Amino acid sequence: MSELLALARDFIEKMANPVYGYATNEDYSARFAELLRSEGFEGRLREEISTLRRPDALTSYGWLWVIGWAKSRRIPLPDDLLTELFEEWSSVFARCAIVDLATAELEYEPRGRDLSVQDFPSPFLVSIMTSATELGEEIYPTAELGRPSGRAESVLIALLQVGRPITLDAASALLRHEWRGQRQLLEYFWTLCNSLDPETREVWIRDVNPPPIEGDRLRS
Amino acid sequence: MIGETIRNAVERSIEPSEQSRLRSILASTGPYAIKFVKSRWASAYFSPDRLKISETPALTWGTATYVTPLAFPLSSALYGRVGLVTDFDPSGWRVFDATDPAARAAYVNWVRVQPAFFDLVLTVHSTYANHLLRNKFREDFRVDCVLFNPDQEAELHTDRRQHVWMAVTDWTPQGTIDSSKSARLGRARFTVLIDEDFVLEDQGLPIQRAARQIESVTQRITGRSAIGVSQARLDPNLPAYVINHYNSGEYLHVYIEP
Repeated sequence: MSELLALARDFIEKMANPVYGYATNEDYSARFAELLRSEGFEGRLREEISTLRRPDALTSYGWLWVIGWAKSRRIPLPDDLLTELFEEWSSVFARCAIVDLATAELEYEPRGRDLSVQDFPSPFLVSIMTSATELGEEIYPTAELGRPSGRAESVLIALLQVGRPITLDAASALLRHEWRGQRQLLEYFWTLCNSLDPETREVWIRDVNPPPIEGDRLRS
Repeated sequence: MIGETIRNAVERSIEPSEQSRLRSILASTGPYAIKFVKSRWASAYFSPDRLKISETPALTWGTATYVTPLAFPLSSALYGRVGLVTDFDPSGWRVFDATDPAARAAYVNWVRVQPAFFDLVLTVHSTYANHLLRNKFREDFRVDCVLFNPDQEAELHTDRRQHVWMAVTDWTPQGTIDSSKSARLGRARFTVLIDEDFVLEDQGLPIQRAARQIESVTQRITGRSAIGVSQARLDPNLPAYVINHYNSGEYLHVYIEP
Protein backbone atom coordinates (compact mmCIF):
# COMPACT_ATOMS: atom_id res chain seq x y z
CA MET A 1 0.00 0.00 0.00
CA SER A 2 1.38 3.41 -0.95
CA GLU A 3 2.07 6.11 1.62
CA LEU A 4 -0.72 8.19 0.17
CA LEU A 5 -3.25 5.40 0.49
CA ALA A 6 -2.08 4.59 4.01
CA LEU A 7 -2.61 8.23 4.95
CA ALA A 8 -6.00 8.29 3.25
CA ARG A 9 -7.00 5.05 4.95
CA ASP A 10 -6.38 6.55 8.38
CA PHE A 11 -8.39 9.67 7.54
CA ILE A 12 -11.22 7.73 5.91
CA GLU A 13 -11.54 5.44 8.90
CA LYS A 14 -11.70 8.34 11.35
CA MET A 15 -14.28 10.21 9.27
CA ALA A 16 -16.48 7.26 8.36
CA ASN A 17 -16.54 4.96 11.37
CA PRO A 18 -19.21 6.06 13.88
CA VAL A 19 -17.30 4.41 16.70
CA TYR A 20 -15.05 7.51 16.76
CA GLY A 21 -18.06 9.72 17.44
CA TYR A 22 -19.65 12.63 15.61
CA ALA A 23 -17.01 15.22 16.51
CA THR A 24 -14.09 13.12 15.27
CA ASN A 25 -16.00 12.06 12.13
CA GLU A 26 -16.78 15.67 11.28
CA ASP A 27 -13.30 16.93 12.08
CA TYR A 28 -11.55 14.34 9.91
CA SER A 29 -14.10 14.78 7.16
CA ALA A 30 -13.31 18.50 7.00
CA ARG A 31 -9.56 17.84 7.16
CA PHE A 32 -9.83 15.28 4.39
CA ALA A 33 -11.78 17.76 2.27
CA GLU A 34 -8.86 20.17 2.65
CA LEU A 35 -6.46 17.42 1.58
CA LEU A 36 -8.60 16.70 -1.47
CA ARG A 37 -8.30 20.35 -2.43
CA SER A 38 -4.53 20.30 -2.19
CA GLU A 39 -2.47 20.12 -5.37
CA GLY A 40 -2.87 16.81 -7.16
CA PHE A 41 -4.13 14.86 -4.14
CA GLU A 42 -7.55 13.94 -5.51
CA GLY A 43 -6.13 12.75 -8.82
CA ARG A 44 -3.55 10.57 -7.08
CA LEU A 45 -6.18 9.20 -4.71
CA ARG A 46 -8.44 8.30 -7.63
CA GLU A 47 -5.58 6.39 -9.22
CA GLU A 48 -4.71 4.60 -5.99
CA ILE A 49 -8.31 3.63 -5.30
CA SER A 50 -8.77 2.25 -8.78
CA THR A 51 -5.82 -0.09 -8.11
CA LEU A 52 -7.30 -1.58 -4.93
CA ARG A 53 -7.92 -5.31 -5.26
CA ARG A 54 -8.05 -6.71 -1.73
CA PRO A 55 -11.09 -6.40 0.55
CA ASP A 56 -8.82 -6.14 3.58
CA ALA A 57 -7.22 -2.94 2.25
CA LEU A 58 -9.85 -0.98 4.20
CA THR A 59 -12.33 -1.62 6.99
CA SER A 60 -16.03 -1.94 6.13
CA TYR A 61 -16.70 1.71 7.03
CA GLY A 62 -13.71 2.75 4.96
CA TRP A 63 -15.04 0.80 2.01
CA LEU A 64 -18.51 2.27 2.41
CA TRP A 65 -17.04 5.74 2.18
CA VAL A 66 -14.89 4.79 -0.83
CA ILE A 67 -17.91 3.24 -2.56
CA GLY A 68 -19.97 6.39 -2.05
CA TRP A 69 -17.10 8.61 -3.17
CA ALA A 70 -16.38 6.42 -6.20
CA LYS A 71 -20.03 6.65 -7.21
CA SER A 72 -20.12 10.44 -6.90
CA ARG A 73 -16.85 10.72 -8.90
CA ARG A 74 -17.79 7.98 -11.40
CA ILE A 75 -14.70 5.94 -10.52
CA PRO A 76 -15.20 2.29 -11.48
CA LEU A 77 -14.07 -0.41 -9.08
CA PRO A 78 -13.27 -3.88 -10.46
CA ASP A 79 -16.18 -6.34 -10.50
CA ASP A 80 -14.02 -8.98 -8.77
CA LEU A 81 -13.37 -6.68 -5.83
CA LEU A 82 -17.02 -5.66 -5.57
CA THR A 83 -18.07 -9.31 -5.67
CA GLU A 84 -15.65 -10.19 -2.88
CA LEU A 85 -16.91 -7.29 -0.76
CA PHE A 86 -20.50 -8.28 -1.46
CA GLU A 87 -19.85 -11.85 -0.34
CA GLU A 88 -17.98 -10.69 2.75
CA TRP A 89 -20.59 -8.31 4.16
CA SER A 90 -23.79 -9.42 5.79
CA SER A 91 -25.49 -6.03 5.91
CA VAL A 92 -28.11 -5.72 3.19
CA PHE A 93 -27.57 -1.97 3.19
CA ALA A 94 -23.85 -2.29 2.58
CA ARG A 95 -24.69 -4.75 -0.18
CA CYS A 96 -27.11 -2.18 -1.63
CA ALA A 97 -24.27 0.34 -1.79
CA ILE A 98 -22.14 -2.16 -3.71
CA VAL A 99 -24.91 -3.07 -6.18
CA ASP A 100 -25.65 0.63 -6.60
CA LEU A 101 -22.03 1.40 -7.52
CA ALA A 102 -21.65 -1.69 -9.72
CA THR A 103 -24.73 -0.80 -11.79
CA ALA A 104 -24.59 3.02 -11.71
CA GLU A 105 -22.76 3.41 -15.00
CA LEU A 106 -24.02 0.33 -16.84
CA GLU A 107 -25.81 0.95 -20.10
CA TYR A 108 -28.79 -1.33 -20.10
CA GLU A 109 -31.57 -1.81 -22.58
CA PRO A 110 -34.41 -3.66 -20.83
CA ARG A 111 -34.94 -6.87 -22.78
CA GLY A 112 -38.11 -8.12 -21.19
CA ARG A 113 -38.22 -10.75 -18.52
CA ASP A 114 -36.74 -13.68 -20.41
CA LEU A 115 -33.15 -13.27 -19.25
CA SER A 116 -31.74 -16.11 -17.24
CA VAL A 117 -29.34 -15.63 -14.33
CA GLN A 118 -26.45 -17.06 -16.38
CA ASP A 119 -27.12 -14.81 -19.38
CA PHE A 120 -27.63 -11.61 -17.47
CA PRO A 121 -25.62 -8.76 -19.08
CA SER A 122 -23.50 -7.93 -16.04
CA PRO A 123 -20.73 -10.23 -14.80
CA PHE A 124 -21.09 -8.75 -11.31
CA LEU A 125 -24.82 -9.48 -11.11
CA VAL A 126 -24.34 -12.96 -12.58
CA SER A 127 -21.67 -13.65 -9.98
CA ILE A 128 -23.70 -12.61 -6.92
CA MET A 129 -26.87 -14.34 -8.12
CA THR A 130 -25.04 -17.56 -9.01
CA SER A 131 -23.18 -17.61 -5.73
CA ALA A 132 -26.39 -17.09 -3.77
CA THR A 133 -28.14 -19.98 -5.46
CA GLU A 134 -25.28 -22.44 -5.15
CA LEU A 135 -25.83 -23.99 -1.79
CA GLY A 136 -22.19 -25.01 -1.34
CA GLU A 137 -22.74 -27.76 1.21
CA GLU A 138 -19.02 -28.50 1.11
CA ILE A 139 -18.31 -24.93 2.32
CA TYR A 140 -21.32 -24.65 4.61
CA PRO A 141 -21.87 -28.17 5.94
CA THR A 142 -24.85 -27.03 8.00
CA ALA A 143 -26.63 -25.45 5.02
CA GLU A 144 -29.14 -28.28 5.10
CA LEU A 145 -30.25 -27.13 8.54
CA GLY A 146 -30.88 -23.52 7.56
CA ARG A 147 -33.05 -21.91 4.89
CA PRO A 148 -31.64 -22.81 1.48
CA SER A 149 -32.83 -19.44 0.22
CA GLY A 150 -31.21 -17.37 2.98
CA ARG A 151 -28.34 -15.97 0.90
CA ALA A 152 -30.53 -15.44 -2.13
CA GLU A 153 -33.05 -13.46 -0.04
CA SER A 154 -30.36 -10.95 0.85
CA VAL A 155 -29.34 -10.61 -2.82
CA LEU A 156 -32.98 -10.19 -3.83
CA ILE A 157 -33.50 -7.37 -1.34
CA ALA A 158 -30.37 -5.54 -2.49
CA LEU A 159 -31.51 -5.77 -6.12
CA LEU A 160 -35.01 -4.54 -5.29
CA GLN A 161 -33.76 -1.75 -3.01
CA VAL A 162 -31.42 -0.29 -5.64
CA GLY A 163 -34.44 -0.31 -7.92
CA ARG A 164 -32.82 0.39 -11.30
CA PRO A 165 -34.31 -1.29 -14.40
CA ILE A 166 -31.29 -3.57 -14.57
CA THR A 167 -31.48 -4.61 -10.91
CA LEU A 168 -35.26 -5.13 -11.07
CA ASP A 169 -34.82 -7.35 -14.13
CA ALA A 170 -32.06 -9.18 -12.25
CA ALA A 171 -34.48 -9.68 -9.34
CA SER A 172 -36.97 -11.10 -11.82
CA ALA A 173 -34.32 -13.47 -13.23
CA LEU A 174 -33.33 -14.54 -9.72
CA LEU A 175 -36.93 -15.37 -8.83
CA ARG A 176 -37.32 -17.38 -12.04
CA HIS A 177 -34.08 -19.27 -11.60
CA GLU A 178 -34.74 -22.95 -10.95
CA TRP A 179 -32.78 -24.30 -8.01
CA ARG A 180 -33.47 -26.02 -4.73
CA GLY A 181 -34.32 -22.83 -2.86
CA GLN A 182 -36.55 -21.29 -5.53
CA ARG A 183 -39.84 -22.04 -3.86
CA GLN A 184 -38.68 -20.61 -0.52
CA LEU A 185 -37.33 -17.52 -2.25
CA LEU A 186 -40.65 -16.98 -4.00
CA GLU A 187 -42.51 -17.44 -0.73
CA TYR A 188 -40.21 -14.90 0.86
CA PHE A 189 -40.92 -12.41 -1.94
CA TRP A 190 -44.67 -12.88 -1.57
CA THR A 191 -44.49 -12.54 2.19
CA LEU A 192 -42.83 -9.16 1.72
CA CYS A 193 -45.30 -8.23 -1.00
CA ASN A 194 -48.26 -9.09 1.18
CA SER A 195 -46.97 -6.80 3.92
CA LEU A 196 -47.38 -3.79 1.58
CA ASP A 197 -50.31 -1.53 0.87
CA PRO A 198 -52.29 -2.72 -2.19
CA GLU A 199 -50.96 -0.02 -4.54
CA THR A 200 -47.31 -0.59 -3.72
CA ARG A 201 -47.87 -4.34 -3.93
CA GLU A 202 -49.14 -3.92 -7.48
CA VAL A 203 -46.09 -1.81 -8.40
CA TRP A 204 -43.77 -4.52 -7.08
CA ILE A 205 -45.58 -7.21 -9.05
CA ARG A 206 -45.57 -5.05 -12.18
CA ASP A 207 -41.86 -4.21 -11.87
CA VAL A 208 -40.63 -7.68 -10.92
CA ASN A 209 -43.21 -9.92 -12.59
CA PRO A 210 -42.55 -12.92 -10.34
CA PRO A 211 -43.40 -16.39 -11.62
CA PRO A 212 -46.33 -18.24 -10.08
CA ILE A 213 -45.66 -20.83 -7.42
CA GLU A 214 -47.36 -24.14 -6.94
CA GLY A 215 -50.37 -23.92 -4.62
CA ASP A 216 -50.20 -20.14 -4.94
CA ARG A 217 -51.88 -19.17 -1.67
CA LEU A 218 -49.51 -16.26 -1.03
CA ARG A 219 -50.18 -14.54 -4.30
CA SER A 220 -53.92 -14.19 -3.72
CA MET B 1 -41.32 0.83 -6.24
CA ILE B 2 -44.00 2.69 -4.27
CA GLY B 3 -47.71 3.22 -4.75
CA GLU B 4 -49.27 6.48 -5.86
CA THR B 5 -50.85 7.27 -2.49
CA ILE B 6 -47.52 7.08 -0.66
CA ARG B 7 -45.72 8.97 -3.44
CA ASN B 8 -48.36 11.71 -3.50
CA ALA B 9 -48.25 12.13 0.27
CA VAL B 10 -44.49 12.76 0.06
CA GLU B 11 -44.89 15.13 -2.88
CA ARG B 12 -47.52 17.10 -0.95
CA SER B 13 -44.95 17.54 1.84
CA ILE B 14 -42.40 19.06 -0.52
CA GLU B 15 -42.95 22.71 -1.37
CA PRO B 16 -41.08 25.29 -3.38
CA SER B 17 -39.05 27.36 -0.92
CA GLU B 18 -41.09 30.44 -1.82
CA GLN B 19 -44.21 28.76 -0.44
CA SER B 20 -42.60 26.76 2.34
CA ARG B 21 -42.00 27.34 6.02
CA LEU B 22 -38.44 28.36 5.11
CA ARG B 23 -39.78 31.58 3.63
CA SER B 24 -41.41 32.64 6.90
CA ILE B 25 -38.33 31.64 8.90
CA LEU B 26 -36.10 33.78 6.69
CA ALA B 27 -38.56 36.69 6.55
CA SER B 28 -37.13 38.57 9.52
CA THR B 29 -33.42 37.99 8.88
CA GLY B 30 -33.01 37.37 5.18
CA PRO B 31 -31.37 34.27 3.70
CA TYR B 32 -28.49 33.82 6.15
CA ALA B 33 -27.44 30.68 8.00
CA ILE B 34 -24.94 29.88 10.71
CA LYS B 35 -22.88 26.78 11.46
CA PHE B 36 -20.82 26.40 14.61
CA VAL B 37 -17.52 24.56 14.21
CA LYS B 38 -14.46 23.75 16.30
CA SER B 39 -11.93 26.53 16.89
CA ARG B 40 -9.33 24.88 14.63
CA TRP B 41 -11.43 25.91 11.61
CA ALA B 42 -11.43 29.63 12.46
CA SER B 43 -8.49 30.47 10.21
CA ALA B 44 -9.88 28.44 7.29
CA TYR B 45 -12.87 30.76 7.24
CA PHE B 46 -11.07 34.07 7.71
CA SER B 47 -12.10 34.64 4.09
CA PRO B 48 -15.40 33.37 2.68
CA ASP B 49 -15.30 29.70 1.72
CA ARG B 50 -17.61 26.77 1.12
CA LEU B 51 -18.92 24.83 4.11
CA LYS B 52 -17.98 21.14 4.30
CA ILE B 53 -20.86 18.80 3.52
CA SER B 54 -21.37 16.41 6.45
CA GLU B 55 -21.34 12.73 5.59
CA THR B 56 -21.23 11.16 9.04
CA PRO B 57 -23.70 8.24 9.12
CA ALA B 58 -25.09 9.32 12.48
CA LEU B 59 -26.58 12.59 11.19
CA THR B 60 -30.33 13.14 11.17
CA TRP B 61 -31.11 13.49 7.47
CA GLY B 62 -28.14 11.91 5.70
CA THR B 63 -25.34 13.51 3.71
CA ALA B 64 -25.99 17.28 3.69
CA THR B 65 -24.75 20.61 4.96
CA TYR B 66 -26.32 21.16 8.36
CA VAL B 67 -26.93 24.81 9.22
CA THR B 68 -29.28 26.92 11.30
CA PRO B 69 -31.29 29.84 9.91
CA LEU B 70 -30.07 33.05 11.51
CA ALA B 71 -33.47 33.45 13.16
CA PHE B 72 -32.03 30.98 15.72
CA PRO B 73 -28.49 32.36 15.94
CA LEU B 74 -27.14 30.40 18.93
CA SER B 75 -29.28 27.29 18.54
CA SER B 76 -26.46 25.05 17.29
CA ALA B 77 -23.70 26.46 19.50
CA LEU B 78 -23.08 23.06 21.02
CA TYR B 79 -21.00 22.10 17.97
CA GLY B 80 -18.22 24.63 18.48
CA ARG B 81 -17.18 28.11 19.55
CA VAL B 82 -16.78 29.54 16.07
CA GLY B 83 -19.92 30.57 14.21
CA LEU B 84 -19.56 30.61 10.42
CA VAL B 85 -22.21 32.72 8.72
CA THR B 86 -23.10 32.49 5.06
CA ASP B 87 -25.76 33.92 2.84
CA PHE B 88 -27.54 31.65 0.39
CA ASP B 89 -30.12 31.72 -2.35
CA PRO B 90 -33.00 29.28 -1.77
CA SER B 91 -34.83 30.24 -4.97
CA GLY B 92 -36.42 27.21 -6.53
CA TRP B 93 -35.41 24.81 -3.75
CA ARG B 94 -37.68 21.87 -3.05
CA VAL B 95 -38.19 21.96 0.72
CA PHE B 96 -39.30 18.97 2.78
CA ASP B 97 -40.64 20.24 6.09
CA ALA B 98 -39.98 17.46 8.59
CA THR B 99 -41.19 19.68 11.42
CA ASP B 100 -44.70 18.93 10.10
CA PRO B 101 -46.10 15.66 11.54
CA ALA B 102 -47.84 14.91 8.21
CA ALA B 103 -44.49 15.13 6.40
CA ARG B 104 -42.84 12.87 8.97
CA ALA B 105 -45.67 10.38 8.53
CA ALA B 106 -45.20 10.52 4.75
CA TYR B 107 -41.51 9.70 5.19
CA VAL B 108 -42.19 6.84 7.61
CA ASN B 109 -44.79 5.38 5.23
CA TRP B 110 -42.23 5.59 2.43
CA VAL B 111 -39.66 3.77 4.58
CA ARG B 112 -42.16 1.03 5.47
CA VAL B 113 -42.52 -0.03 1.84
CA GLN B 114 -38.81 -0.10 1.08
CA PRO B 115 -37.62 -3.62 0.18
CA ALA B 116 -35.01 -3.44 2.93
CA PHE B 117 -37.45 -2.31 5.63
CA PHE B 118 -37.38 -5.67 7.43
CA ASP B 119 -33.57 -5.46 7.60
CA LEU B 120 -33.82 -1.93 8.94
CA VAL B 121 -35.89 -3.01 11.93
CA LEU B 122 -34.57 -6.54 12.44
CA THR B 123 -30.77 -6.17 12.18
CA VAL B 124 -27.97 -4.30 13.96
CA HIS B 125 -27.19 -2.12 10.96
CA SER B 126 -29.73 0.63 11.62
CA THR B 127 -27.35 3.63 11.71
CA TYR B 128 -25.95 3.07 8.23
CA ALA B 129 -29.34 1.80 7.02
CA ASN B 130 -31.10 5.02 8.01
CA HIS B 131 -28.31 7.06 6.48
CA LEU B 132 -28.69 5.25 3.17
CA LEU B 133 -32.49 5.43 3.20
CA ARG B 134 -32.56 9.15 3.97
CA ASN B 135 -30.13 9.81 1.13
CA LYS B 136 -32.24 7.68 -1.21
CA PHE B 137 -35.40 9.49 -0.15
CA ARG B 138 -33.84 12.88 -0.80
CA GLU B 139 -32.41 11.75 -4.13
CA ASP B 140 -35.62 10.09 -5.31
CA PHE B 141 -37.70 13.18 -4.50
CA ARG B 142 -35.04 15.76 -5.38
CA VAL B 143 -35.21 17.36 -1.93
CA ASP B 144 -32.95 20.41 -1.79
CA CYS B 145 -33.55 21.21 1.85
CA VAL B 146 -35.01 19.40 4.85
CA LEU B 147 -36.32 21.48 7.72
CA PHE B 148 -36.28 19.66 11.05
CA ASN B 149 -36.43 20.26 14.76
CA PRO B 150 -33.01 19.57 16.31
CA ASP B 151 -32.61 16.28 18.12
CA GLN B 152 -29.68 17.55 20.16
CA GLU B 153 -29.81 20.70 22.24
CA ALA B 154 -27.47 23.02 24.06
CA GLU B 155 -28.84 23.98 27.44
CA LEU B 156 -30.64 27.35 27.27
CA HIS B 157 -29.43 27.91 23.69
CA THR B 158 -31.61 25.41 21.82
CA ASP B 159 -35.35 24.98 22.00
CA ARG B 160 -35.92 21.60 20.40
CA ARG B 161 -39.64 22.17 19.88
CA GLN B 162 -39.43 25.68 18.43
CA HIS B 163 -36.11 25.91 16.64
CA VAL B 164 -35.69 24.74 13.07
CA TRP B 165 -32.45 23.56 11.48
CA MET B 166 -31.73 22.89 7.83
CA ALA B 167 -30.09 20.02 5.96
CA VAL B 168 -29.16 21.42 2.55
CA THR B 169 -28.39 19.17 -0.44
CA ASP B 170 -25.71 19.84 -3.03
CA TRP B 171 -26.05 17.76 -6.19
CA THR B 172 -23.39 16.17 -8.37
CA PRO B 173 -23.75 16.57 -12.16
CA GLN B 174 -25.23 13.03 -12.22
CA GLY B 175 -28.00 14.04 -9.82
CA THR B 176 -26.62 12.22 -6.78
CA ILE B 177 -25.92 13.84 -3.42
CA ASP B 178 -22.54 15.53 -3.31
CA SER B 179 -20.32 15.05 -0.26
CA SER B 180 -17.48 17.47 -0.91
CA LYS B 181 -17.98 21.18 -0.16
CA SER B 182 -21.22 23.08 -0.48
CA ALA B 183 -21.64 25.48 -3.38
CA ARG B 184 -25.05 26.46 -2.02
CA LEU B 185 -23.58 27.52 1.30
CA GLY B 186 -20.42 28.75 -0.26
CA ARG B 187 -19.60 32.13 1.30
CA ALA B 188 -19.15 31.17 4.94
CA ARG B 189 -17.02 33.46 7.05
CA PHE B 190 -15.91 33.53 10.71
CA THR B 191 -18.57 35.82 12.18
CA VAL B 192 -19.47 34.75 15.73
CA LEU B 193 -17.28 33.77 18.66
CA ILE B 194 -19.06 32.32 21.67
CA ASP B 195 -17.63 31.92 25.18
CA GLU B 196 -19.02 28.48 25.88
CA ASP B 197 -18.20 24.83 25.38
CA PHE B 198 -20.53 21.84 25.35
CA VAL B 199 -19.86 18.12 25.54
CA LEU B 200 -21.33 16.41 22.46
CA GLU B 201 -21.00 12.78 23.41
CA ASP B 202 -21.16 10.51 26.36
CA GLN B 203 -19.07 7.35 25.83
CA GLY B 204 -19.44 7.68 22.07
CA LEU B 205 -23.20 8.21 22.08
CA PRO B 206 -24.67 11.62 21.14
CA ILE B 207 -25.87 13.66 24.09
CA GLN B 208 -29.45 14.82 23.74
CA ARG B 209 -29.16 17.84 26.03
CA ALA B 210 -25.66 19.27 26.44
CA ALA B 211 -25.07 21.27 29.61
CA ARG B 212 -23.22 24.58 29.63
CA GLN B 213 -19.75 23.86 30.98
CA ILE B 214 -18.61 27.43 31.73
CA GLU B 215 -21.59 29.70 32.29
CA SER B 216 -23.13 27.23 34.71
CA VAL B 217 -20.11 27.87 36.95
CA THR B 218 -19.51 31.57 36.35
CA GLN B 219 -23.12 32.46 37.13
CA ARG B 220 -22.63 31.03 40.62
CA ILE B 221 -19.62 33.25 41.37
CA THR B 222 -20.62 36.72 42.49
CA GLY B 223 -17.35 38.58 42.08
CA ARG B 224 -16.05 38.86 38.54
CA SER B 225 -14.07 41.13 36.31
CA ALA B 226 -12.83 41.08 32.77
CA ILE B 227 -9.67 42.06 30.95
CA GLY B 228 -8.79 41.97 27.26
CA VAL B 229 -6.29 39.26 26.43
CA SER B 230 -3.86 41.58 24.60
CA GLN B 231 -3.76 43.88 27.62
CA ALA B 232 -3.47 40.91 30.00
CA ARG B 233 -0.48 39.48 28.16
CA LEU B 234 1.51 42.67 28.75
CA ASP B 235 0.25 43.52 32.23
CA PRO B 236 3.03 43.01 34.83
CA ASN B 237 0.39 43.06 37.56
CA LEU B 238 -1.53 40.12 36.11
CA PRO B 239 -0.14 37.55 38.61
CA ALA B 240 -1.18 39.73 41.53
CA TYR B 241 -4.51 40.39 39.88
CA VAL B 242 -5.19 36.64 39.49
CA ILE B 243 -4.10 35.89 43.06
CA ASN B 244 -6.43 38.64 44.23
CA HIS B 245 -9.35 36.99 42.47
CA TYR B 246 -8.37 33.61 43.89
CA ASN B 247 -8.16 34.87 47.46
CA SER B 248 -11.47 36.74 47.24
CA GLY B 249 -13.37 33.85 45.60
CA GLU B 250 -13.92 35.76 42.38
CA TYR B 251 -13.02 34.95 38.81
CA LEU B 252 -11.25 36.82 36.03
CA HIS B 253 -12.51 36.61 32.49
CA VAL B 254 -9.65 37.05 30.01
CA TYR B 255 -11.45 37.70 26.77
CA ILE B 256 -10.53 38.25 23.15
CA GLU B 257 -11.29 41.89 22.43
CA PRO B 258 -13.82 42.57 19.71
